[in-house]
This record gives sequence, C-alpha cells and structure tokens, in this order.
Amino acid sequence: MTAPSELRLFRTLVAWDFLREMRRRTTLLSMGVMGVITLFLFSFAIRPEDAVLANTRAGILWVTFLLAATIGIDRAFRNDAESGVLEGLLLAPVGRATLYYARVTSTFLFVASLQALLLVLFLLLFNQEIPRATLAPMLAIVAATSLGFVAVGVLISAMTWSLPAGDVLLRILLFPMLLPVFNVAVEATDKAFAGRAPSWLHVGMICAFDLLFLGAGHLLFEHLVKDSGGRT
Amino acid sequence: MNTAAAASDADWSQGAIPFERPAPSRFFVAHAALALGALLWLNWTIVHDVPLAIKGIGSSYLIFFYHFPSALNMGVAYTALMAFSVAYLRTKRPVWDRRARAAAEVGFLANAVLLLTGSTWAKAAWNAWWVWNDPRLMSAAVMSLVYVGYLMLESAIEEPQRRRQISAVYGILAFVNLPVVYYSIQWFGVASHPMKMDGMSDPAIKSAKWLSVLLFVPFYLLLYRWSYDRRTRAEHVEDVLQRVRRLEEKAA
Repeated sequence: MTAPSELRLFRTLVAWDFLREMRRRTTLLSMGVMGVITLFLFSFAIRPEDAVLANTRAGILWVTFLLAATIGIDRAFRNDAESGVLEGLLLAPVGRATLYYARVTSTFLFVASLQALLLVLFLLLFNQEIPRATLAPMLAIVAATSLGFVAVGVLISAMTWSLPAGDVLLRILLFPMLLPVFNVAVEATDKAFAGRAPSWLHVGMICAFDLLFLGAGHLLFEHLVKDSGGRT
Repeated sequence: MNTAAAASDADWSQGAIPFERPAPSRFFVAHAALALGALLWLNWTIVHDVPLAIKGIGSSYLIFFYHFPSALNMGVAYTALMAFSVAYLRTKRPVWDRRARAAAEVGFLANAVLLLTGSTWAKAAWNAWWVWNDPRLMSAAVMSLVYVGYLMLESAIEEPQRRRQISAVYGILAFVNLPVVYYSIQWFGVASHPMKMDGMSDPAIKSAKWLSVLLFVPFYLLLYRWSYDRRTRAEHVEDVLQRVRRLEEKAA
C-alpha cells in the first residue's frame, strides 16, 4: 500500500477537524456568544447614533471579529492536546507543514463562518448597510485579513497552549502582532461602508501580510512541534 | 570565542558546567553607568555647540540627538535578535539563545528611550504627550508591545530547551514589525512625524548627529554584554541546581 499524498492528508485533516468542531459546536458557540456580547458592549460604550457610527462602525466590526476569532485560535491546539489527540497526530506520518496548513484552513473556516453570522447581526442591530458595489471587495478584505489573523494565530497557539495562563499569553503575543494589518483592514472596511473601493495599497499590504506569515508558518512550525517529546 | 568557551556552550544542554567564569556584574553596571554619564555630558556639549537653534521649535531639537541614536540602536538590536534566533534554530547552541535574549533586552530599552524622547518632543512641538494618528509613533509603540511579549514568553516557559525553541520562533516573527515602523509614514499616510527638521542638513548638525550615534553605541554594547553575562550566570545556577536535584534523587 502506498502512503497517501500530502494533499490527500491535508484534505482529510481539514475535513476531520471541521466536521468534528461542527458536531461538537462548543468552539463555534463560544466564539458566537463572545461576538454578540462584544456588539452589546459597544452599544453601551458608545451612543449608537448614525453620526457616531459613521466614524466607528468599521472599528466596532473588527474588534468584534478579533475578540471572537481569538477564542477559535486559542483552541486550535488546546482541545486536541487536552484530549491526547495531538500526540497521536504528531506521531502520524504527516508533514509538519501539512499539519500547519490544515489547522490554518480548518480554523479559518470556523472564523469565516462566524464572521458571516456576526456581520449580518451587526448590520441588523446597528441598522447599517453595505453598498452593493463594495460588498464583494469588503468580503474579500474580511476573508484575506482573517486568513492573516489565523496564520499568525495558529503559530502562537502552538507556542502557548501548554503554558500556565497560556490563553492570556496568546492574546498578549497575538494582538500587537496583528495591529498593523488590523489598522489596514479597518481603513479598507471603512471605505467600503462609505461606498468606496479599498485602495490597492491596502489590498497589497493585507496579501503581503498573509503570504509572509503563511511562509513563516511553513518554515517555522516544525520547530514548534519537534524536539519536544510529542508535545507541541 | 575561544575553544574552551565554545565547548562549554556546546556541552551545556548535556548538563556540563562551563569552566569559563562569567565576569562579575558590578563591573559592567559600573562601566555602563560611567559610559552613560560620559556620553550624556559629551552629547550635551556637542549638540549645545551646534551653531544654530532650529527654527520654530526652539531648543527642543536637542532631544533629536538622543532620539535618533536610540532608534538606530533599537533597529540593530532587533535585527541581531532575529539573526541570533535563526542561528539558534540552525545550530541548537544555547549561546545563541542567550545572545538573542540580551539583544531583546537592549532593543527594548532603546525602544523605551525612543518612545520617551519622542513623546517629550511631541509635548514641545505638538503640545501633547501622545498623538494617536502619528504612524511612526504608533508603530514604534506597537513594536515595544511585541517585544514585551518576547520577554514575557521567555520567562513563562520553564523547560530550557522548549523555551529556547519557542523564543527563537517568536523572535523571528516579531522582526516583521521593524520594516513596518520604518515604512510606516509611506504606508499609513499621515505625515505628522518630522522626517527631517529645518536646518538638519547643516553640516555641523549632521556631524553632531552621527557623533551622538557613536557615543551611544558603546553604551548599548556594554548593556548587551551585561545582560548576556547575567543570563549566563542564571543558566549556570539553573544547571547546578538541576544536577544537585538529580544527585538528591539518586541518593533517595
């Protein structure tokens, strides 16, 4: 019997991880509830009037996305490690880069599904709308930025899951690392709400961020999971 | 590095105690303090003799001669941290981890000085200690947070080999911020941060600027050496402690 190709292993790992989380729903539910709570916190923290929202809506949306997505990122390895699944995965003949990309893809799928729900909720609760002309560019910006979040997040999650107060450390390490692309995403989203397409500079910066960290993950992930006696 | 020291570094992970005795820390603290005093005095003398006061902002331009060397040293330290992290991942020699940690501490100090002097200048020039829409100020502040994370990560992991491995990966990832700070004004648009001040092209000011840099470099190098030795001693003690524990376990 020949060994399965890395692509097939990748597809299997993504499908397994995604279906498992969808059945269990705990991560997705925690992320969703956190997102809703954040939206409500904003409704109390600022006066949700049109004049205020015109300047703050993109920021509110991205802070909500970030806080909710972090829960999913934090659990990228923690759940598996606690149940002993991770040890088995690391013993399996799977390339470390394949494991990294599979975890990024499955986490990205949860985060993207959640963001779709939160975006609809945000538009309904805050009585906002996205002009039809800029809807597609805005969704592309959201997806590309979230991919960058997850690419960095999975790496940092592999660093912190086993540490005492690792969930707090994850946020301390992750948020400053994301701030440059967060800033660009807020600006691009703000433009999209106002009916203007995002600039090529913004698109280029987000894509460069994604490629940079996906490449870094490809090269560095193996250093986070080897020489550790089966622990990541 | 001599052969004995190299051998001691290589054997470290196997539990051998290095035979090179680290220099006492007071020596370096005293030297660093002396160097700092001398350079502050020299810097003050040099920049005060610069034959003009830069127009519009009065004497607050003097801060620049402390601000610019810090920015340069910070950049060098963070670049060195990244290079040492790569070297650690390639060789697995603990000496590179100690060098990376020392570079992180020096880089963070220079980063703090950079923010402090920048903020003081902002108060004089813009009448505010902090300006949220200045991309360079913001990106330098964010970078300091990234490296605080590095220092926290280092102290959060107890197992030495794992600590070195993870910190090296994070040290490489963190480096991405340096170009962001450098190009922040071009990328993020709002150019409130002065790229150059009126009169800075004056040859006297230019030479004073680079002389300030030359004065600060030995200071940061001394701090680097001090931090490195402190780390070496800490690992030495940790190593001896582990061996004593192993002996105790055997005896029990």
